[in-house]
Amino acid sequence: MNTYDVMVIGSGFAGMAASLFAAKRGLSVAQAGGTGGIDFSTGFIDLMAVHPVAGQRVWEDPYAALAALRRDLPLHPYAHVTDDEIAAALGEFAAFLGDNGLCYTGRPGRNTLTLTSAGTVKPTYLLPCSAWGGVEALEAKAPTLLVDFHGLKGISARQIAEVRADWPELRTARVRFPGMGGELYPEHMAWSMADQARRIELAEAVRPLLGDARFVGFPAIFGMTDTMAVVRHMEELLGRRVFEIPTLPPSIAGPRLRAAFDRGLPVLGVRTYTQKLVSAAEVSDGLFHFTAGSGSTAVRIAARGAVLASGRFFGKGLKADRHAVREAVFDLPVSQPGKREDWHRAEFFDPRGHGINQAGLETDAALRPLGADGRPFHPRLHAAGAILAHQDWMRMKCGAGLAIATACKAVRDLNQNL
Amino acid sequence: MDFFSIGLGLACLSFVLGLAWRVHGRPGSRLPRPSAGHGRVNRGLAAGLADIVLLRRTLRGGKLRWAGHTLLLLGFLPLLVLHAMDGIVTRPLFSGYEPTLEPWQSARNILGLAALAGLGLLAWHRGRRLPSLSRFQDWALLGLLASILLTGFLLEAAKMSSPADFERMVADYFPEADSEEFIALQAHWARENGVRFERFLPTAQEILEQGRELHEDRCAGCHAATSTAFASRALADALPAGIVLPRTVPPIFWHLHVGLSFLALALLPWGKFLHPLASPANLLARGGRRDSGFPASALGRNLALEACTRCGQCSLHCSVSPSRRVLGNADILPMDKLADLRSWLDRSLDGAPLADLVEGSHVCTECLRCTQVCPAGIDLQDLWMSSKAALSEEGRAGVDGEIRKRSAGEWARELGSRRLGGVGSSGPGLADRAESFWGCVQCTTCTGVCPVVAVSTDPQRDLDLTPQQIMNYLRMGLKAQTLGARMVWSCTTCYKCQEHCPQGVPVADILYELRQLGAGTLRHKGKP
Amino acid sequence: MRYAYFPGCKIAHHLPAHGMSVEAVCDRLGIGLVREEFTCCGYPVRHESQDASVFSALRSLALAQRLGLDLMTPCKCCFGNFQHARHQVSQDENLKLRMKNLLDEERLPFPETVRVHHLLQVLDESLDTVSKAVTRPLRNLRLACHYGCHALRPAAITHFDDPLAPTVFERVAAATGAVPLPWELRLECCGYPLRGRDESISDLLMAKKLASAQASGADVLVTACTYCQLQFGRGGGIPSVLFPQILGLALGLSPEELGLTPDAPWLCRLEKE
Repeated sequence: MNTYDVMVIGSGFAGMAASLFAAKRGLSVAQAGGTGGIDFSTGFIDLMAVHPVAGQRVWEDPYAALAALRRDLPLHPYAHVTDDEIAAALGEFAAFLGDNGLCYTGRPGRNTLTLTSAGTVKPTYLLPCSAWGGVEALEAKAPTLLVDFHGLKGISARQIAEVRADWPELRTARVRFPGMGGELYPEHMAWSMADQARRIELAEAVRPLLGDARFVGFPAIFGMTDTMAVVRHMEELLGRRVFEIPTLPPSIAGPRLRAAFDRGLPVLGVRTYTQKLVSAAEVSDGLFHFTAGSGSTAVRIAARGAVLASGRFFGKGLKADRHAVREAVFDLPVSQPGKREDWHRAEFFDPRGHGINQAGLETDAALRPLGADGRPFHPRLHAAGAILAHQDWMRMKCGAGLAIATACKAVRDLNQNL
Repeated sequence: MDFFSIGLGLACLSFVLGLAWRVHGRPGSRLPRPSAGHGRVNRGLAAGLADIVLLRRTLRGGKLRWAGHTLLLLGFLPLLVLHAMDGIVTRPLFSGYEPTLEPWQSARNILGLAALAGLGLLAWHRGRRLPSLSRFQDWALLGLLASILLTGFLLEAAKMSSPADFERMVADYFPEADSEEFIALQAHWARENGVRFERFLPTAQEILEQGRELHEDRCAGCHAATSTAFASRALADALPAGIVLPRTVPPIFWHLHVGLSFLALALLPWGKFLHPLASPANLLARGGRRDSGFPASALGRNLALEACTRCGQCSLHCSVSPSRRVLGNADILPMDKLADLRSWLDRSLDGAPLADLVEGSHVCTECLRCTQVCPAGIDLQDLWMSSKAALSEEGRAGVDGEIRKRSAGEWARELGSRRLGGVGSSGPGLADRAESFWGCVQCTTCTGVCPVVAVSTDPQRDLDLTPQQIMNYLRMGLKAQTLGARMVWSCTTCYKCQEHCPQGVPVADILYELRQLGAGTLRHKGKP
Repeated sequence: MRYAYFPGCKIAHHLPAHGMSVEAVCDRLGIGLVREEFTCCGYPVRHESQDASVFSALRSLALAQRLGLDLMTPCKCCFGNFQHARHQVSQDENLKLRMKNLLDEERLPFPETVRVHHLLQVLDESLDTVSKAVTRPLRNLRLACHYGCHALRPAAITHFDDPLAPTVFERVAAATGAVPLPWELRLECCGYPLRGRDESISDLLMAKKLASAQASGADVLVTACTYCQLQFGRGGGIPSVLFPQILGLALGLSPEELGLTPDAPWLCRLEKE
């Protein structure tokens, strides 16, 4: 049995980032986890935008927001990571995606407001290059045509236009997607766009509707592994700037990220065990012994160190029963509201969020989760991403950034101890 | 007209008519045209002949069967030619031929015993290795041949011990014998050749000597000692002392022996009785080939259809025999499938037997093994592949084809009122268990990754339901609504849905289970 | 290294070149192939009956177990069904009992210990030996390796490789000196399972794969499964070649020994070296 330097538990943003960073630093890496985390992503890489959540204050400068956050919430995981570390981690992460056909962009040091499929805008830090045209069109309120498709659920150009009453020159059109009918699914459409003939047919269908539009927005369906090539081809065919609007998850954004990692991680030597959840762990002779998968199909993996990036409830890193929340792999103590009644507030949409959303693992400054005695559970066990306590990534708009930054920090500190 | 002429005439008539019926083939064959020929008709003549003469293919199937056949053929064929047809073969060829002279007498016994031994080996083999594969005609053929041989021995034994035959011979060839000479000859024949007489005979030396001289003078020209017919003589001697056969016995055995032989001739064109003719003919046509793609003509295919010896080798070696064990359908194995295929081609197969043939046809994996082991050299592979196409062409495309004949809605109406069980007999399957779907959040990932949905131009129209919709129906307990859906039957089993499901729903396994359930439902339809 | 060799049903008549090339390559590499009269793996009958499919698989596994050998097959569908059948009996005590009874009737052991390998796994385990045995590296040849569904998924049952980011085929292929290329649809279905069931979808799936392989710039699409090869063998455009044939060429075997037509255009690329 191979013994790896690092076992990465989880395959969401944090797990993928941890594997990437560890492999880039020359460590041998095994990674196990289910689909779900990455696959349900919107494709945006948020860094930090909303603080305090109760006041819904949106920050244009994420680093200023971080400074305020560290001051107001010293327990927040971002308190353990410096701005430089965050910037470097995001840069390395985006470069990896770029190398694997997934172009990301943004404004250094600034959040960007980007259009969502509901017509609202949300602040994010890095976004797919294919969506950048939408940012420019939105900011300039330029003459723009939004196209959607018969049969594609989860995005309505007309609804976007109605919500964006501040954008009078936004027109909409609904067309038939060439070659497909009935109910449409983004992944199928994306694969079919690999065919140049399909793009030409689509451009033919849209061209008569262009009018004076300078930008044309489409639901995100432009190819799976080389989106920008498709976008540029569409721009060439239509003679207009073209951009994508992400659809509701599961959208094409998840599979694109998944494809980039599936392509890039094995090249770096990462041994992936996809769709195998780590079900048990034990420590002996200074080694971790993990069981991935269950029953007769389980595999055993030994590693000297580990990064616990198993996510929260959807990622199955945390498990809630009637009375308490537990950590799934090591049964680490979970910081959580004292009583079941305190998990949620009375109103589901309470802007302050719920107690349960802040549940997670307590760590030391090196992101090592604490055991029952309040000391690090193991000197070479680190945690990263959504499983960390004292953060509410969804409301703070900091999910991917937190995952990437803490993964980077965890790997670096772990590397020093190996 | 006597018994012999009438019997022979009828037997020949049956043979000729039957053969004509089988040889003229099946008008308007249901099988598709054979593919263009390879033009290698005569190249394997020597190999074909070697297959026939040496029974090479039989030898590959097992030594016991080979030994049995070889003994039977080595014994039976000379008997057929030299004994049964002695009037037209042996007598003209060998001057002075008499069946009661040597070497004919001992040869007949040796050949008869060899043939019987061969039959014994074949029967033993069949009883031991093929009990479940054997049908009436298999045992009937063995029994008929054995009966001919046994009645032959009995006839010979009866004749040699019968006083009536002795008296008839003396009357014909020694009419001037006085009573003393007659008694002396009787005494000699009783002592030396085992004839049983009612009266007490003298044993004095001089009388026996006189009998011997008379025998040498009058009988020995046509009669070797009956002890050379050693088997028959042993049979005759086995009669308890003092028992004399009634005069009616030898004619009874004669009628039996001759009658059974005529029966065999009459039955020759029917069922597997033809194989002594059809199998060698097919071997010759195959020219030693063991692969498929030949014969390239409809005639050759008809010959192949007739050449089965029902030896069971194909069924013993069949790759899908485990499926036969589980599903219980005899037509999954080649030997019985071939018989039913013939019936279908003759338009005399319908109902449940036809359903069995269709299932057998579709379970076959076309592995070529039956074709390789067939001692008769039948290109079974060609028959299976062409008949599968022909059955599909006539709307018998197996479970899949039956399901596709009706819409998902029609199936839902038909099956809605029925109790659909689980798969296997392990109780409720995945589709019946609520736990299977607990995790399902209807996120459409399964549908999103499905390559079949991806290539359909309109999933609702082409596939009725998408995978995630099927999961939704099932968790509401609406199994009948899903069973006829095209998505279930056009699933390519790539398992992407199951692999990508973030919640661990075994989507592809469930679709497999629905197909198994559909197959089981159709299989039991109309059967108790 | 000796294995009970399970060629599967389709090789004898439908794809003899697969059998030829597997045997030639194993012979060259010193991988012992022990013959046995196996029956079907149960994959084709799985649409019809769970029991028939599982029993078919277990019976062949039992024969291998009686030989005291692990089983090796060059077919992904056979491989997948063996793994699937074992998983099924491990999950269902009643099924296991029924299967044991059926095996008992033939006095066959229940196959507890026998392991199942696909040819690619066997080659991967002795990659050094393979690399050293290569006498004619195929440096000019660019390959689009087609994974084949039934070995790959569901990975929790088949244990072939990572289901979303597999590497074994490319790793073994690279040992021949040829260049495996990344391509978009490498993990998608060839469409064979719908042959005779839904021809139009089968054709569409195949056409998509072939177009994607062609677009990757590969010279040949490489398969390691009888069924996939049968499917792609019907298509036009990029030629589809069995992996043991590619490996055989690298080991210095002649096209004829591998069941290849010596005048196939793609073979010309090798001559340029």
